[in-house]
Amino acid sequence: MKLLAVLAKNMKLLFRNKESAFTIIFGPILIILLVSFAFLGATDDYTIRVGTYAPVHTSFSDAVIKGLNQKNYHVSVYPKEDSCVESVQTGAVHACMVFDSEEAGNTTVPVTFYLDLSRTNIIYQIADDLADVVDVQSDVIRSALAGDVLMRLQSASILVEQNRNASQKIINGMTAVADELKTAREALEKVSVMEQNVTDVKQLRGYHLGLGQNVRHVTNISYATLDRSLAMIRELERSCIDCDEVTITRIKQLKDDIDDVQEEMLIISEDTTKKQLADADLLIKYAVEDIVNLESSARNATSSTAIALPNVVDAQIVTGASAKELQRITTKLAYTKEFLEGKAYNEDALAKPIATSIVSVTVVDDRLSFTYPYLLVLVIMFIGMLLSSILIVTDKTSRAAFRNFTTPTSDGYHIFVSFLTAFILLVAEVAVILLLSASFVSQPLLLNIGSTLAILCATIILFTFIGMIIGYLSKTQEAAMIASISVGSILLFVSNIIIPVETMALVVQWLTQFNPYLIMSELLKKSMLYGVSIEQVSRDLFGVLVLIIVLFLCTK
Amino acid sequence: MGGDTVFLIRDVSKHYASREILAGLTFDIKKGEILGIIGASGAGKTTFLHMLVGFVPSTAGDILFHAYTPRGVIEYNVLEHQSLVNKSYGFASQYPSFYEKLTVIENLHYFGTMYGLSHDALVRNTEILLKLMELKASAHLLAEHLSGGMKRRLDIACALIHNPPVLILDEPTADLDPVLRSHIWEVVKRINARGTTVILSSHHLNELDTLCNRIAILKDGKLVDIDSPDKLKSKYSRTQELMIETFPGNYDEVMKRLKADNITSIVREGTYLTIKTENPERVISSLLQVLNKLNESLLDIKLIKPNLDNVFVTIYKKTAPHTTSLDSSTSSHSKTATDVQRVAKPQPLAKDHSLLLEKTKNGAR
Repeated sequence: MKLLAVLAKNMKLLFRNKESAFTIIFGPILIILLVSFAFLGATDDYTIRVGTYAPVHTSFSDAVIKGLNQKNYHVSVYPKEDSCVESVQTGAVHACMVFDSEEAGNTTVPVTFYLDLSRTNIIYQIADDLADVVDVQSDVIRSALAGDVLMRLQSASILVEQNRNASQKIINGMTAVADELKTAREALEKVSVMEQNVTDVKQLRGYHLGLGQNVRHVTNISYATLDRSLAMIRELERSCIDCDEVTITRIKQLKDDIDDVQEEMLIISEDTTKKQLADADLLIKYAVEDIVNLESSARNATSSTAIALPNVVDAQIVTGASAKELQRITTKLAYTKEFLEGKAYNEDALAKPIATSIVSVTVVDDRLSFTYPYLLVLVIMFIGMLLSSILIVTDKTSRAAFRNFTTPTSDGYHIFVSFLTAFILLVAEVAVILLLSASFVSQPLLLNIGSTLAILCATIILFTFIGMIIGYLSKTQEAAMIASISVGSILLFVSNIIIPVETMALVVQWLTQFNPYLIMSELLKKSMLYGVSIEQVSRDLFGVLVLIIVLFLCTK
Repeated sequence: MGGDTVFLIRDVSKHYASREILAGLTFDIKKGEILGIIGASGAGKTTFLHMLVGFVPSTAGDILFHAYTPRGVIEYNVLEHQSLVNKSYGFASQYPSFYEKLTVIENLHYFGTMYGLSHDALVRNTEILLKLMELKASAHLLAEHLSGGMKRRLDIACALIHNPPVLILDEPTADLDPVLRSHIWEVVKRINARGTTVILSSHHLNELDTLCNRIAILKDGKLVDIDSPDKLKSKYSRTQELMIETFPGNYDEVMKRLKADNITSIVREGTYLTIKTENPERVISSLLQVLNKLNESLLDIKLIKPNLDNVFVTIYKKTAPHTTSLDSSTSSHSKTATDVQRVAKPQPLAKDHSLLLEKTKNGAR
C-alpha cells in the first residue's frame, strides 16, 4: 500500500506539472516521431549546392556539370576561381569544383574540389557524391579509350587467325606427305618378304609330290582294308546259315556297298587323282618358274630399294619435324588469337576492372533502422537522467521533504520508489515508442526479443541511476536539468553519433569504452540489427551490471 | 496537564562551523502543556525545534523522548531511535510542508500512509481532520490553490494525521492576518484540549500570552528563562503605560508640572501624552491635580499593563546592550497595543470538536 501510495504520488506530481509532463513524458515521443518523420521523408539525394569554375569549358567539364544537374544538385557556374572558393567559405555553396582546361582523353584532367571541412557531418558524403559524378564521366572516357584499344586488338586477332589457318593448311599438307612417305617406306620394306614367299612356293612342289605319294599310300591301304572287310563279310555270310532273312539281306547289302566303294575308289585313285595331281604338278611347276622370275626381279628391286629407303626415312623425319614446328606455331597463334579476342576483356571490364559491391551484414537496409538503436538509447539516456534527477531533486527540495523526514518511512524507501517510478515511466515510454515505431520502421527490429529487452532494461536502470546521482548532487531542478543535459551531451559527443570514435585522440578512444551511451547503443544495435543472443552479449551485460552496482552504491 | 515530561533536553548545543547556534539548553517539556518558544530572529528557535525531532543533530547534549505505553514510560534518545520517535510527534514547520500538486485529501492520505495507518484509520482520521480544520469543502482542491490560512491548516492536518501525542508548530501563524491567526490558535487549543502536547514558536508574543502554559525565551542560542507568562511578566516588566488626551492639550506645561517620583518616562505621542510608571495610582492622582490647575479637560485616559512584548524587550535590552532586531510585527504591535484584553483567554473546547483520531498502529503514547 505504501509503495503504491508513493508511486501514485510521484506519478501525480510529474503529470500534474505541465513542464515536467511535457518534457519528460511527451517530449521523447515527440522527438521520436519528429526524427522518424524526418527520416521517412528523406531520400539519398541531398540538397547540395555546388559551385563550378572552368577556365575553358570542355566536353568533360560540361558533361560533369550536366551530370550534377541530372542528380538534382544546385549548380552555380562561377566566372572566377576565387569567387567560387569564397562561396564555400561563406556557405553559399557546399563545394567548389575547379576544372583544368585540358581536353579529356589526351592527358590526365585535374579536377580540384574545394570543401568546407568544418561541416564534418556531411562533408564526406558530399565529397563522395561529387567524386561519384566525376567518376561517371571518367568512366565514359575510359570506356571510349578501352573500346579503341579493343578494336585494334580485334584487327590483330583477325590477322592472326588468317595466319593460323594458313599454317594449318601447311600442316595438313605435310601430314599427307608424311603419310605417303610412310606408305612408300612400308612398301619398300615389304620387298624382302617376297623373297621369303618364293622359297615357300619352291617348297610347295616338294609338298605336292609328297601328297601324291600319300594319296597312293592311303588308296592302297584302303584297298587292303576293303578287301579284308569283304573277306570278313563273306566269311560271315558263310557262317550265317541260320540267320534270318533280314540279317542275310543286310549282309548282302553290306557286301554290295563295299563293292561299290571299291569301284568308286578305283575310279578316284586311278582316274581322277592321278590326273589332278598331274595337273597340279604342272601348275606348280609353272608357278615355280614364275616365282623364280619374280624373285630375280625382286632382287633387282631390293637393291634399288636399299638405296631409296634411307632417303625416304630422312624425308619422313624432316617432314615430321616440320609438321611439329608448324603445329607449335599454329597453337601459339591460337593462343594469341584467344588472348586478343579475350572474352573476359570488354570495354566495361577495361574501364572498370574491379566491380565493387556493398553487402550489408544486417537484415535491415533503411537508414532509420540503422539509426534507430542509437536514437532509442539517446532518448532513454536523456529522459532517464532528466526524469530521475528531477524526481530526486523535487523530493529533496520539496517543502514536503521535511514532512517525509518526520514520517517513519526511511529515506532509502523513497529512493527506491523514486527509482521505481523512473523505471516504470521509462519502460512505458519505451514500450510506446516501440509500438509507434512499428508503424514507420518497416524492418523487424526485435530480431531477438530476449536480448533486446534485457539490454533495454539495463539501459534504463543504468541511466536512471546516473540521473539519481545527478539529482543528489544538484540543489535545484534547473541545475539537475542542466547537469543531465550536459552529461548527456558529453556522452553523446564522445560516441559514434556526431563524430566517429575512430577519428578521435587515442586517449579519448580509450575513454569511450567506458561511455555508457556508446556501450548500450552498440549493444542494442547488435541485438536489434544482428539479432545476437543474450549469451553473446552476456559479457558486456555483466560489465554493465557491475557499473549499475557501483552507481547503486553511489546513490546510497 | 500533568507533571510528566515528554522531552528532556539536556545540555544541548549546536554549532555550524565556528558559529554557535544553540548553547547548553537544559529543560523539560511537560506532557499535555502548550510550550511557547520565543526569541528574536536568529535566536535558534527553528533549529531547536528541528533538533527536537532529530532533523538536525545536536553537536553536544542529549534530547530524550518519553513514550507513554501501557507498560510504562519508555525513554528514547531521539537521534538513536528516529523511526520510533517519528511516530510520536507531528510537525508543522514555518513553511507548509506538503505537496502543492496533490489535493488536500491526497496529501492527507499520502502522509497517513507514510505513517503506516491502516486504510480504515486513514479514512476516519482524514474525515475528522477535514472537519476540524474546516477543509472539507476544499478536500479535492489542489493544495496550490488553497489560501494561506487553508494551507497552514492543511499543514497542521498533515502533522496530525497519525494522531501524535506531541504536536510541534514552528511559527504557525507567520504571514497570516489576525482573523486567520485567531482561527489557528483556536485549532491549537482544541488539539491541546485532547491531551496533545503542543510545542510552538511564534513572534506574536501577546497571542502566546493567553495560549501557552509556559514560555521559553531564547536569546543568542541560550535559554534566558522558561516559565508561565504571568511569572515572566512579573519578573521582567513592572512598568505600566498611562496614556492621556486633554483639551486644549498644553502638554509641555503638563510635563513641567508633573514631577512624580515614580515616573520612568513621559513623552508626547500625537494627541496623547504617554507616561511610563511602576505606580500608576500615584501618578494619576498627581496628574489630575496638574490638569485641574492648568484648566485642562481630560478627554481620554488609558492604562496599559505589561505584556510579553514588554518582557521580550526588557530581556533583550537588559541582557544585551547591543540591539537585537525584532520582527516588525512585534515592534509595531508593541507600539499600538492599546487593548489590554485583546487576546481572549483560552476557552474550553466544544464537545463536537473533540479529536478522536486513530492512533498510529505502533504509536507510542
